[in-house]
Amino acid sequence: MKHFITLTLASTFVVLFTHVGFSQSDFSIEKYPFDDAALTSAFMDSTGFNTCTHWDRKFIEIKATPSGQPAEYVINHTLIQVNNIAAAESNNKVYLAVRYRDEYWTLQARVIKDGKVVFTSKPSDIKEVEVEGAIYQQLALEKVDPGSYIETITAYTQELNLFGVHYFQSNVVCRESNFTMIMPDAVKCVSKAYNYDVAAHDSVMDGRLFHEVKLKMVPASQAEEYTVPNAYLARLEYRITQNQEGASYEKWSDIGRTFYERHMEHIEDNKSSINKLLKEIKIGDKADISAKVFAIEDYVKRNFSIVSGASTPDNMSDLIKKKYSSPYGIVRLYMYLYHYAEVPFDILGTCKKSVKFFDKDFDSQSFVKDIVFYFPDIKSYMDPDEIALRIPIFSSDYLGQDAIRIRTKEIGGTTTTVITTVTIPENPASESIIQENYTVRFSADMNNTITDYSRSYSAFAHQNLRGACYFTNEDDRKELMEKIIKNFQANANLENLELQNYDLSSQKEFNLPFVTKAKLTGPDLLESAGNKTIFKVGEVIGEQHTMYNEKPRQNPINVDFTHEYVREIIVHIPTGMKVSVLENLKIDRECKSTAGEVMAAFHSEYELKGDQLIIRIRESYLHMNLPLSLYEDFRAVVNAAADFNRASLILE
Amino acid sequence: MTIDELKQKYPKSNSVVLLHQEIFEISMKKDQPIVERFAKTQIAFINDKGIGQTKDHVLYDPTFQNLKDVSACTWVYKEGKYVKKPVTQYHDRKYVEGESFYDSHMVREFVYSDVGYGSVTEKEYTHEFLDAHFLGSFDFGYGMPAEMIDLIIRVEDGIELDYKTFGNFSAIQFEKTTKGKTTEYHWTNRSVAEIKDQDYVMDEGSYTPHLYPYIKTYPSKNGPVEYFGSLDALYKHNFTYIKNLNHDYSDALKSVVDSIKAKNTTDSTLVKGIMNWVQDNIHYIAFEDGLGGLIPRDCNLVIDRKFGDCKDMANLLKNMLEYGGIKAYLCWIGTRDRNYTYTELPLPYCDNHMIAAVKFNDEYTFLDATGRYQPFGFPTMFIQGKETLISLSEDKYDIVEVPVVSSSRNTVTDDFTITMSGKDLVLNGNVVMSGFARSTHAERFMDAGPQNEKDLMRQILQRGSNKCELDSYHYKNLQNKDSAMVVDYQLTIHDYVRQVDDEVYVNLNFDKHIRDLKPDDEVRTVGCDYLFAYEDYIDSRFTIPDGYQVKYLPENFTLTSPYYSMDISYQEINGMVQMKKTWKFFDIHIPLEGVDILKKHMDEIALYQRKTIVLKKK
Repeated sequence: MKHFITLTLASTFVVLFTHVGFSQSDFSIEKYPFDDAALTSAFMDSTGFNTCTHWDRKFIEIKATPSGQPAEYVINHTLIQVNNIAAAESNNKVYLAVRYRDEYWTLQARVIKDGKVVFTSKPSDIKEVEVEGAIYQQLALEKVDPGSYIETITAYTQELNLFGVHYFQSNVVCRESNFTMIMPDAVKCVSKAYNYDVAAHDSVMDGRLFHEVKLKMVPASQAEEYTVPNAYLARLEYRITQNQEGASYEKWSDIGRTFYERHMEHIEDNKSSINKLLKEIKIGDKADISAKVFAIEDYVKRNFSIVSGASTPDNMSDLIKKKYSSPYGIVRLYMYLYHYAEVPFDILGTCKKSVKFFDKDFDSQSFVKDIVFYFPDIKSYMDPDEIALRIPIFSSDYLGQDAIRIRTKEIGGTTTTVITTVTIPENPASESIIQENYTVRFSADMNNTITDYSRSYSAFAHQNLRGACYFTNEDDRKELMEKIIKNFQANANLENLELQNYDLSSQKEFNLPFVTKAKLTGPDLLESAGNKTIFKVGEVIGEQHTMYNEKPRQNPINVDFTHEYVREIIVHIPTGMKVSVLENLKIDRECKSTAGEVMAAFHSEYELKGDQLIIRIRESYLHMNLPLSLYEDFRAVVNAAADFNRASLILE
Repeated sequence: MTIDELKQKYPKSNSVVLLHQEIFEISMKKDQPIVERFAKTQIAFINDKGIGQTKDHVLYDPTFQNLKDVSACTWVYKEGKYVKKPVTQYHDRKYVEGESFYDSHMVREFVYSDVGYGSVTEKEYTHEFLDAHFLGSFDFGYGMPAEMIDLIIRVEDGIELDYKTFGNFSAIQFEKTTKGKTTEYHWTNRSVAEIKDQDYVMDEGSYTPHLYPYIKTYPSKNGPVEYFGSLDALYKHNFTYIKNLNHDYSDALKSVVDSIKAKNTTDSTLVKGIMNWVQDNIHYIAFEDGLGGLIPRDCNLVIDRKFGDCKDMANLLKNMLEYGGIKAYLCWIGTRDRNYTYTELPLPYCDNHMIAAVKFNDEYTFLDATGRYQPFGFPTMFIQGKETLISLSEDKYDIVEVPVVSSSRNTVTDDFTITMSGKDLVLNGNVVMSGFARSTHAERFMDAGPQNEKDLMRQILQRGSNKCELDSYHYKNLQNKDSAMVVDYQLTIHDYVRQVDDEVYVNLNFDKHIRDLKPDDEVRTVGCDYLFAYEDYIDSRFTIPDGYQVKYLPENFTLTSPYYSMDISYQEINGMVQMKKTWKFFDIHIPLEGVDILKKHMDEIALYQRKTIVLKKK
């Protein structure tokens, strides 16, 4: 759900730009040249990477098109170094996405070897493909070899955005990463640096403001677990705050109000078609708000498809007939349905934390990528995008994120919108539980274990599994669950598979934990040592992940959602056999904040009760965000489960 | 059939193909065969999980077909009746889903309205063939159950039609009738179960019954014209793609070959030098660009641009070799995911790849430069055991099977010592990888890049448990295709040793990868394919800690089969327990009749590998 107010505000700029002439820029999009510094750019000693970037320069100039429309003129200019054959093969193609066929674009590249240009592209080399309305220009580069440099210039115009983001960091090292915005000097722009601390430099030349940021030797980002790496990339967020006439834009209140007004504009016209649909949903039969919210959500998710690129009709009867629409159209449908069902709701505009953390102190649409509904009467959130989720569960990617909240208020018979920023709270750990129960017996010949397996997933813990079971057919569902259950017991025979509560259209079932049960019989958990049997009891819980530490950790820790594993293993010791309990059954690890609060923990213990060995494990992730300083303690907790995997019993 | 009846008949499914029908009309016009294919597909959604199935498309390649008369609609089910909701908007775009950099295929896309419980989506379209050589294939199965799959081919008198069938046709009804001047071939498959993928199968089409129709001959003013039906006809057709290739060599080509020749004085080393040069310097970019997908590009252009697809590389190799004075040949071949012989399918669909070949002492050496990392003399993994059609001259060809590389040339030898350090084991050793065992790892390392090297090395060397830490490593010959890759390593498996009272238990079977060869399907109809034949040798020596003696060593183990063998032995020698393990996997394919035995043997091996050694305090 991107850029939902761009057109409205951009149209205001038309007034501005049609009145103002600009002197020609040195950064003319049509004449932007290759840089001969590429021929002498010193070889980068970056043997650690397939490629490295000598420079990555981006320019965005805001100016009027020849027809007087405000637009962004964009130039991307890169010089990369090809370090090996694999890099030659994966970099000998360049692409440019052009949103509209009639816009200006250019794509050119050259290949440099030993300080000489060995290939320069021609316009006739470009191939074009179109995907979902977007046109991609493709260029195959000739003579790319290890040791080559590839210099690429892409330039294009695009519609004016009053906000934007530029990433300086990627997964390869970059010697010089520059970003320059150019605009009429009376236009005000603010920017904010994220994850770097170099100040922007502003200068005015020929009536144009140049807003520049230059970073040197930007390190490569690295893949890490338990984090949201994109959110920690060095980036600049910017927004236009004022046009030449002094009008200011883009406060949260503008963004929220414009969104609300635009989407609610036609609500009265659609009253009858929405009420007709509400009758079909049988909303009148529902007694409470929660049931109404669920019924509407479930009906829309089971009957309407989100099709990116589809139109967003003002007339809902068209959408209702077709049963599909753009993401915006589906959000609008929900708004109308809840409105006429008399369910009070707030609209939250936010983004996924796997993309970036919402910054409530920087009023920019760049942070408003997605819509989440909030129902204050039942304190529940609803995610219109995720067809496999129902209230109160929504994508955990929004947990802990800030958001703008659009709430309506009746004042003197008039509806007004109140825009504030709020936080979508972290989920309580005590609700998202993976409860695992295993009862293990042995075959008479001690060649197999027989395990009664039961797992239940509650709240956010079932985000993926329940929906996967609902949407797949019976055979695929069985295959999927067998793969999960037979983890560590590949040779086991699985019987009596039972799945409970995966009917997404039943609110009652959805509010119960998703349960999987099965009986596993197999040899994988046993080893023989002469006349003794080793029972690898630690493997009963399935293979646990180990976090390695190959490189120094870069980023803080982010857990998707707070949750706990509560496990109980009951081992029935065969009559007459002696059991020796080995180490690793009892593990106690905690990761505490500097204030002493437990952030994550792993505790396991056992007791022998007659012929039963009972093992209890509680593995808890109680907070979603932990500082980098706690990384080693956190890793120790995660690895405790893998340590438990090594727990064994000797039976003789 | 009503929705309730469908639900009852197919209780495990979310959707059912009610009808998939194709009707070919083949006739003569202006002395040429004219082909049109009408197709119709109806899919019923028998529960409310059809949501998301609203997008559909029709594929075509304007080089070979015109697409016309596309129409689609949803039959919406309401209160026992169906109401038609036509699709009103269609959008043409280039096909980009494949691996090709550029593909001339087009897609006409559309979105069905109102797809929900009981709905039936329907699409109809006609392909007008611009070249009657390419009639395609027809599958009698789907990834969902189907009520009826129907193929009709109507042929005008005088045109000789033939077809090749593959898979089990016992349930497929066939009827051939003649009405007036038209002969109709009609196949129908009813109540067809969902076609499910099977593990370890390269040619996924092999478990669906399918048919290739083709025109054998047609009448013309100048007498009957032969299209296909024999190897001679296929070769004649294929040769048209290569007969006009340029053999004038550019200075760049000459210069490269001359410099290679200066360093390689014998024919065999020259071939190797040229092959290595193309492997290293011509980067693969796939083009499926109409006839550009069939005709190799000029060798001078390819050497100048330094990129090309398989046929470009093959043609470049042939020309470089011939400039160097060595006779070389262009060859067509089907990769292993197209599992036909030329005798079974003498049609262009038999192959999808081109390579080059040279012949010394009556033996061909096949050169496939798309495999960047395989040693000289090796084919790529994906053409092993496949027939290749070798172009000797305009009217001469040869069909030869590309050999399967012997297991003894693809070896992994792992030689290491093991010492106990508390509950940890420390392994010191080296692993030597040759042939495809080397090239597959080399490719992984090169693609992952140096920044991911240690992670990848840990994944490759990890053994014993997920608590295995790679302490150090050093490798040799990653990029040297013709030498074995050697990795010296030290790793620690934490918490591996089990100790109770005065006894220590250690299982020396760290590697469990053999179980990855076991297919997991309940129902199988075809055998198993594997990437390559190979041999693994493990020689491990566990140092008995001071103060301990061996209490128990597992008995030796031997298992043999025509397809693989396993030998494991233990012995106590010089204060160590030596375990030697040899696993040989002789072929790249295990036929269906061998699969159950394979599963049983894998279980036996898994059971044996559970045995640990026991040490006791003296």
